[in-house]
Amino acid sequence: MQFYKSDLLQYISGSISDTNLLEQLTELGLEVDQSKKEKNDLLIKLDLTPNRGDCFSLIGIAREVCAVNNLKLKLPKFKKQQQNLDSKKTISVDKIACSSYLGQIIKLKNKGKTPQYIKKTLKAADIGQVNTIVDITNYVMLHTGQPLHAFDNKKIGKKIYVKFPSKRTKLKLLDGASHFITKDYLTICDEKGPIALAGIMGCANSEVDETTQEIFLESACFAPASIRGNARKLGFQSEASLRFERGVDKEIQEYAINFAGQLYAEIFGGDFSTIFRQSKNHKAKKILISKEFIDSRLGTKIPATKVIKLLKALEFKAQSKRNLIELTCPPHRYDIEIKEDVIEEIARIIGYDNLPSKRLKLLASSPEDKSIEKEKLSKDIFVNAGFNEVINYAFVDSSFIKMLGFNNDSIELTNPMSSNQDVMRPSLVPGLLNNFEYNFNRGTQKFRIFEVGNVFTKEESWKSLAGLLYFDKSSSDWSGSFKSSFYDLRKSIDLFFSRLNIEPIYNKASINHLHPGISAEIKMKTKSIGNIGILHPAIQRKLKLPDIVLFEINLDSIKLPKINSIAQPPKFPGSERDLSFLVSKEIPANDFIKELKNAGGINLRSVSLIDVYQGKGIDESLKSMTFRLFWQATGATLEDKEVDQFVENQINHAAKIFKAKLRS
Amino acid sequence: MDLAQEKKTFLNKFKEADSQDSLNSLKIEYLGKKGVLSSLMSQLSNAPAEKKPKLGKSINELKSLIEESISSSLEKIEQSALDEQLFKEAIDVTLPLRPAVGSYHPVSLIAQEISNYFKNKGYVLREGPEIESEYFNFSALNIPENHPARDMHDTFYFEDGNLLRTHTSPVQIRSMELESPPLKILCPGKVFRCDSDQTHTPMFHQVEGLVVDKDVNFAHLKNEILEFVESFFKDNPKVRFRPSYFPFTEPSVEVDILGKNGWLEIMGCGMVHPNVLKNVGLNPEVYSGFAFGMGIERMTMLRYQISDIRMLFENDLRFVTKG
Repeated sequence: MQFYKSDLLQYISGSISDTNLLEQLTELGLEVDQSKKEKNDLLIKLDLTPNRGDCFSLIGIAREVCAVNNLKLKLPKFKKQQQNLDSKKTISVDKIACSSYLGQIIKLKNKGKTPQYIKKTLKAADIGQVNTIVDITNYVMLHTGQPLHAFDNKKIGKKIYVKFPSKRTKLKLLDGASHFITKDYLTICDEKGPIALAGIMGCANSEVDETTQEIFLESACFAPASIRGNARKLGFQSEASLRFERGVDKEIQEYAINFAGQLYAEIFGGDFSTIFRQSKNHKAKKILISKEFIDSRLGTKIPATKVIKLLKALEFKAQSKRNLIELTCPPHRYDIEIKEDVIEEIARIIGYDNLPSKRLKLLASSPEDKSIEKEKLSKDIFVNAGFNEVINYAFVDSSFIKMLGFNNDSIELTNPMSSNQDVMRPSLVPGLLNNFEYNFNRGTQKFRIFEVGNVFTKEESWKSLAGLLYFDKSSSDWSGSFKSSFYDLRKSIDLFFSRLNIEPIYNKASINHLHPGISAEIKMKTKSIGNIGILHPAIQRKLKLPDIVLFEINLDSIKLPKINSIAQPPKFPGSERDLSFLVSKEIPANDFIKELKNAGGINLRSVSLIDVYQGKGIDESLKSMTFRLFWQATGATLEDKEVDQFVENQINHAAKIFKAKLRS
Repeated sequence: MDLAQEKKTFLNKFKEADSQDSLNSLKIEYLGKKGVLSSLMSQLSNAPAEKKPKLGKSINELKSLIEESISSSLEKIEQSALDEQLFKEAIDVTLPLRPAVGSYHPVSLIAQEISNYFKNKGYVLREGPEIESEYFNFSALNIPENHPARDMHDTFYFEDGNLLRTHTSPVQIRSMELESPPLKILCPGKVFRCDSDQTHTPMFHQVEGLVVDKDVNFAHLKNEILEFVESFFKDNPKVRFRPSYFPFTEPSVEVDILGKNGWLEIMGCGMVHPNVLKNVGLNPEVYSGFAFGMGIERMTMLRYQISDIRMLFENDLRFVTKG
């Protein structure tokens, strides 16, 4: 709603400075979006909330300003025009959808021109001039909040119906667009069919223009429920629908039609018919509220007399009934339905800044979501491991994820912002690749990035953790690290799992977007929980990317670590042995370690791989792995003989399982 | 036995000894088992009895002199060898290094700060799904279909009628359905609206607090907000509460702080609407509550003086690592 201060002041008996007015409007909940000084006037734009339909009018806004300043609202009186035109209309109305329908035929005597003051008001409100007949209806609407509609009376029949159509109907609106409307659209019809979409826009078939000599002026009150959503479904919003959707003053129809009548008489000169009318007495909403309830919700001690005075200023009728206050809501306030709404009115007029504040003593009663804790822990671990966090949009380009080889079960948005954000991400990898590309092109050479966020498929959604690592010689450190490798990233993953007290298993696996030879599925016991590997060379080539390393882990499948007891370390000295085995190069080191542990007896404390060798002196199909084994007993020093026995068991076991030979 | 001569001879030899080796051989020559001093000691037994004490004393003095001279010289030589080693080993401690320094995204940092603040005030963190039903996102929150309030939210939809939540408020409903009062929760998370310009991105983060119990009133809400603002904005700005409208709170209030160029909106809040309480089976005559919510990006932009929200999601590493 946009207007000039001068237009508003017509209704206020008293003066108010620009600064005060702007501040008060915002503090009343009628937020001033913009204001601009213009000549001797002030242009004000309000950003109104949807509950305040009544303030889509100068009178509505003036009423608020008066209430908070203790001023009187000044409403001009309009006299009824002499009704000497003998024309007839019969009106029949769906009374649930339309509580009041007033119409008047006006025969325009002369040509009329839109006066300057009307032009100014319309321009302030950003409403274009159409012709003088329509300009007057818009002008009255801006003042009263009552949308009026003028039909060319020569183009419509003798009977007016306000009804929902019985079947799907086609109509052409004033803006030239044709629509099929269904049974949910309230229409104004004559004998032949629709002449207007009630409360939204008139039809082209009854349009007024410069040549129109006789109008049928409609001033009606349509129920918000019968208008709501309909304009939006047709893809637009009109000044009328904006107001009817939010609710138009149930008692202002006659005032508005007389206001317009006076303007037509002044500008055109005219003969007026009687006002044809179909209306029912609406029942004013009544609310009972106690002072105690008000105080209990606001934390205040406000005297009942003050409450009554304040609500009366807002045109509530109020009277004390025993311990209660009985309120009758004003007909323009659709938003007041319950006690809490009344409390808001009281707080609003007193001013929230003037209400008390008090510390609440209440403690929470339930534990925190584990998932939040897990997310936080994951972030902490990766940030401490030198990774930079990124946050990407949850929607990605479907063709990109298809190219990366993700399953074709991502969820499509029906109304994406753009075609490259058309599906929900099934993985965090596409986002990380985008981040890589963006930054690589801007000169970043070293990447350790990660993200935590939800990913989605048609079946389920889960919280995912993913990372990307890349660096090369140019970013090497003085301590001598070179090109990023699979193992660099795996080290960080191992760190992550060790902090969570989880022993992951890395199994070679084929994952579409990863290098088949340098990638692994990450498993916890038998459950697959993620993957790690170098970006597939075919994808690297397509995207012109280097060989970056990626991982992704399903956080939902991981549990937070349980608290373990900490055992005292053994006091007796242990024994260490190094063993080198020749074994087929296909055997994964981790499998070998597992078997050495199986055969090493209960006192085997650790098995570490200290060397892997392939090349000169060894058959091409074989590799040499050297392990350092360490035994230690809790109750006594281990004898060499005992350790020899364990070693022999291990050598035999390795020979049996892996055909491994001890290297001399 | 001419001790003075022996002393002189030693001092001459000692003068010549300038290496560790020569000092060690000098040590053996004089102090060894068959050295000069032990031979002097054996000669002492032949000396007349009345001269013995004096002579013995002089021999011991000579011994001390020799011991101290040699060991102090040795020490000096070791020290200078160490000095030389230390000098040789010196490195340029200023070589520029490139350590992997991790960082949290600025939005994460602020979300964390706000969450920690409220956790310390006894709020429990809660999460909910990002893909929501119409019911949890709208209906249960007192936003009926076709209500103009839905225009406040430009919603992303899916074919099955589900949607991307437009606010974190559905978590309130889910929490209230599962737990009974007293309830004191904080829900951080991603939310989505089809909108993109300098102050809007189609995805952003909100954090929302909810307290429900008997006798919870607006004064409590006001205090909670005032204390938070004081903690978050270090310069303790002026705060303004002004009426607003959210379908799920009544009264509804917007909170502004006074910045250099006027009032800045920072959050919305209000008393939980009785219809929302009824929707989760609570009697609004018995229970009341308050809720508040803010955009984390907005708070991030205020904290770091960022003017374009979209920067936060471009993930330029020269930017998102600097929080």
